Amino acid sequence: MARAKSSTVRTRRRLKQPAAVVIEATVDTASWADGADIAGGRLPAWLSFLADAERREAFRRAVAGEAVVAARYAPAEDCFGRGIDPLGLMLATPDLIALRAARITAAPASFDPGRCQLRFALLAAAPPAALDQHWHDQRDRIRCWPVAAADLVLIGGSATSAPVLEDFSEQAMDALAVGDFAALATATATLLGLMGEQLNAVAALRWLSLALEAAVPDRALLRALIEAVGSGQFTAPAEAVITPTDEAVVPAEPAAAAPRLVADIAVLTRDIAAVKRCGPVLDRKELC
Amino acid sequence: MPLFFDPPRVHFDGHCELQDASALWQFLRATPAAEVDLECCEGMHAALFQVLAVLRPRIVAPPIDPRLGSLIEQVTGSAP
Repeated sequence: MARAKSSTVRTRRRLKQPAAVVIEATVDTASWADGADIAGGRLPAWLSFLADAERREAFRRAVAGEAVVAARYAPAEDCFGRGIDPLGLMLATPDLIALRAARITAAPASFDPGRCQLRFALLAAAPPAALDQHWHDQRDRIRCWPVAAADLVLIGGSATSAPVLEDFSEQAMDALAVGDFAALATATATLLGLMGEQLNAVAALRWLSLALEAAVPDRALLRALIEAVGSGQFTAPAEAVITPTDEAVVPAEPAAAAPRLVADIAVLTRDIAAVKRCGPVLDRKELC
Repeated sequence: MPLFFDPPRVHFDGHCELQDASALWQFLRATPAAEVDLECCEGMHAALFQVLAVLRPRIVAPPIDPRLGSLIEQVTGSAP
């Protein structure tokens, strides 16, 4: 049948843009569609499959104090006949960050298109009350988990134990101790600009940089990330969630701490420049 | 009708509803190497999405909504 293109083509051209939600083409959905959990059952396993952009966006929202929620939706098989559209419900979830779908039946021969065999998993940065209101009568089919910023930190890349990183961690801890977040952010950005791409320390620095964007940074989270810069290993603090009562700490000695850290960064910069002359990347156990 | 059948291709137009799922299912099962054009698709009921997930046809053009397009790519393994 011949078909005339509708005006939606023009709409599509207007809307043609990079996907706001990046979905990986190959996702091992079996692990989450069947209900597997991680972290002792505290978090859904599918969080492991988040794309980097999704993970960073959720982290940014979490450190800003927004509620980030992971959810898994198992619609009833007869939901279509009751006027429920699970796909539409999921796509319209407020402040959706990530969405995954899977079907739980494998063989087309046994498939009934009138019965819902779908499962969904999502990550949203919306207040639980707003999600409850949106999901309405499907709420009892949806399991939710609160997600803390620390739950989203994933540090990959090559290991390194460069002395400059240990020095940075030490000085950054000093800045953190006096609440000089501005100096810490500057130092982090400076070091990021000097490091190679594929190092776990760089991954930690990126998370640290994001965490410092918060109006009231979470000190426990910052401390854990600074330690990760030096060690390449991230250990979530016991309580990494920002609380509304977390007071804005007035720096005890901001005037003294900032110049010191900047001076230290200048030294680090020289060290790194020297290292760069010795090799193309900072991914060796021993540098120079 | 929001589904236009032009074998071996089916075109989605506008928002495709639950009642289209059966026709889509039958067409895709009966058409070897079927192709799906979602260029003018503004949305679809979960029942159609599920048919695509089960039969995994070749998607030749993504839908308007990039989120829906990403999901379809995920469940069909077909990227336009």
